[in-house]
Amino acid sequence: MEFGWQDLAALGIVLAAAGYMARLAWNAVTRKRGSGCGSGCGSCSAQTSSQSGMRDPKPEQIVSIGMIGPIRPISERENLQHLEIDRSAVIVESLKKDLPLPSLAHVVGPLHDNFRQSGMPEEEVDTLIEEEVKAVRAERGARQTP
Amino acid sequence: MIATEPLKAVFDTVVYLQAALNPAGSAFAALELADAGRIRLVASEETLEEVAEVLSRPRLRAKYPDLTNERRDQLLAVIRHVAEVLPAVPRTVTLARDPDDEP
Repeated sequence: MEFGWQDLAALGIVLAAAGYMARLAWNAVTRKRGSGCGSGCGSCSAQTSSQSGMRDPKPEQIVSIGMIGPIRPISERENLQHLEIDRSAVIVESLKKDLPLPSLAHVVGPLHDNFRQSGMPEEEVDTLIEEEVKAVRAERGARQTP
Repeated sequence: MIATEPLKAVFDTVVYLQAALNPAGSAFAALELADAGRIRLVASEETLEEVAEVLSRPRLRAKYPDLTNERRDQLLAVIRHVAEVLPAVPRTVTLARDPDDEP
């Protein structure tokens, strides 16, 4: 069995990847020993918690980003799961509210293009609008009448 | 030079719809005036609800492929931004008669 340059290159890549993984694992292990600089001495977390007077965060607490509500224990959060909040929808709606309002021309421009492309005469679109308004008013009247 | 308040205007549902769907008509020009602050637009919630309902009709959607729910909502947001929207407008208004006109 002969080793060509391609085999050597592949071996080198595998070894580099293994080294990278080993480094990540080592960093994870050393970080677990204490927060702060990663040295594992534990002095950083002890100092900050005693200075600030804050309680160390309990592992059963989660931190929300403001849209779901206050910090809740996981057990309580599990009880809320039946509400089936669609987080992505909440985030999208929140972002939409913060977006600047589009201009009138930007909003109606594509509709005006549709009108031009359709080749409809103005009378036809006016008639269509009047018929649909009448239909909506008739439906609303029927809904309001018991 | 005397500064004058912009003229107050109330548009019917049809005017909003014609402005949205027909670029050549006077309705769009009128809405542009309101958008530019040249006239002061006043609208009722009921009118805006009617506009939204008509813009959701299938016959209009068939003629206007770009008329989506999102675009409808954007248009209403623009109108709400431009206009002074009154929540509940009475259907009938009673005006006191001038005593001099009494028989």
